[in-house]
Amino acid sequence: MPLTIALPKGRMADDALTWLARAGWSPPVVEDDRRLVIPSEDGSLAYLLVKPMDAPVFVEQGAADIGIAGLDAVRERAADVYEPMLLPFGHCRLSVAAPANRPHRPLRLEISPRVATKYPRLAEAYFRSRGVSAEFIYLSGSVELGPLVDMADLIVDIIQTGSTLRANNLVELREIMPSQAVLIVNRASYRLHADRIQPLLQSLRAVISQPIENPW
Amino acid sequence: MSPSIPKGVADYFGGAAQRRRQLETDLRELARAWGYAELIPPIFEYADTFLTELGSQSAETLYRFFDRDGQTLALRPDLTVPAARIVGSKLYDQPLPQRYFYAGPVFRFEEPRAGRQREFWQAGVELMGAGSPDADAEVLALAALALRRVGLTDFRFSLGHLGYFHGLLAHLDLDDVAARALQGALDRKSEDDVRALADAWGLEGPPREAVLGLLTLFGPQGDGVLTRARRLVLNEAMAAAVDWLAQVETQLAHYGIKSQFDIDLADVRAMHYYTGVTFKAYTPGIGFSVVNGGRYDRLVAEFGSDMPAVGCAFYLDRLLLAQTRQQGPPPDPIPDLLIFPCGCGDHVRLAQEARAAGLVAAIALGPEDPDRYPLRVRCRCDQTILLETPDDSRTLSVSAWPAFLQSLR
Repeated sequence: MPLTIALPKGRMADDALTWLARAGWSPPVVEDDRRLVIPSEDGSLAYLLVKPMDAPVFVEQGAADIGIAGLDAVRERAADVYEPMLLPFGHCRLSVAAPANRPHRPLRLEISPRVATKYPRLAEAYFRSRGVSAEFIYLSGSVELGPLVDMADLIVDIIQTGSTLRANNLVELREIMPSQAVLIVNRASYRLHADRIQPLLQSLRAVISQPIENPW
Repeated sequence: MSPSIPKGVADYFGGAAQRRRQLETDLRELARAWGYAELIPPIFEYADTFLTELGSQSAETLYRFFDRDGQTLALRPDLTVPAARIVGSKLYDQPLPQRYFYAGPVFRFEEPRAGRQREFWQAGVELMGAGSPDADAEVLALAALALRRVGLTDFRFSLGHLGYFHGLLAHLDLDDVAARALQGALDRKSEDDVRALADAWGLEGPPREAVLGLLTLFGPQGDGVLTRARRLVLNEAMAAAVDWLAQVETQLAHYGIKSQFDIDLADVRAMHYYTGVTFKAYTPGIGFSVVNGGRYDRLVAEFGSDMPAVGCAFYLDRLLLAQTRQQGPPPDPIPDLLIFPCGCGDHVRLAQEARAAGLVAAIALGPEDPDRYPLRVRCRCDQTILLETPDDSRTLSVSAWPAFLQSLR
């Protein structure tokens, strides 16, 4: 039985595969891009390509033994998994943003703001902990549109460089949490497959702690 | 009438219902053979019983409601607290130790997760009035052999001791918030978070090594985990925890199950009432623990009588899931024999004799599909009967029926 590893589709998967290769782990065979379960070349791993927000769920349920996910996704799904190692990519932050022309005043003075987000759990926890009774509009993408079409007053979303915000005339108000890629492990697999997971952790830890040579 | 049922409850029927009862029966019989007598607590009690200082659950996960007289009642969220109440307030002067087994539904108002609905089934054992490593080993061994008994032979136990972590906390003299932060980081096995905390607190020397080292104190027995743990010890409490685990290990070796146990001293998430050894069991096919247990030496005192105790609970729904994933779905319960009614009425006697012989026999009432039954029996009313199997049929004399039944068993 190969060790199953859930990877979030998109750029994080590319970074993850680069680091896994550096640590000496066999890459996925490239046959058919539409396949969702892809064995590694040496058969020791099975890669599951899933939506970024779902990677923690696959690992929590034990459908994947290990996974790579954004901390934002792990916290949003409240996934009960081990998080043995932060990985040096996928850096971003979950923040509250508003139209640039919003009057300058603290969030806690908002009466019942409409908040568009892909992160209902984290957004609700953030506003609730400040005593603000917000109205949440759950979207699965293009959250920045919310204020533009006057569907929302605020958004809670991931910010990497801030260029998407600027392009849509939004400004960041508060950071809710910083995020980056994290290696996660199912609690049962951690014990049942310790003989294979521990070497994987050690090899990744070894390459991550190596100073990266300056390419210039 | 709407066919819907509330979120978090499930109907069990067919093979699944039969397998669940069988699971419960297997566990009960095993526990009985070890001297554990059945305890049958009520389904609901005063909410206060579950909200003591060491109480099992936070208030918001309790199903609470009012009695007609205005008292707040709660559906039991676990069975350890009722067991502690019964022993602490009623049975405290009976001979010790006392060994109890229980099985039944418990209720928690939480988001349903794999193998744990809002109503879910637990079975468990509690060993009250014995405060030794041998008592811990007995409960651990019973739990492990119970998993074997129900066919889940491929399992691993993770064994920790909260005394080690509590000793470390005492040495570091952390406030509650800081202690919880460390507990959370250890629970996630997040090296980065543990290191960040050690940095933030300015830890150096042996305390720093003990904090950072905790996450390495994981591995199979014989892997030197306890030796490494002993090197990091900062005080008497931590040393005592290591010694205790070494004694539990020795006992587990006698039971022949030592190789299926891992030590994990960083496993610090447990019910509030645990004080010493804690353990969880895992089996392939299910990403969650199927057994949780540990030592709780202060809980019984909440109900009047101070005595040590250790116990564990099996998540029956998760064991069922594991059985289904490892052994396939349970077959539908189908009677061994279908007996057709006849003019002379002997079919009743044939059926009764089959039932007395331990077989499952149904008398045909009309709507049956005979092809579903492995064996069909027709009385010819001339002292002979016709036996039909899916691919054969033969005649048997009625006098040979009892012997035939014995051959089927």
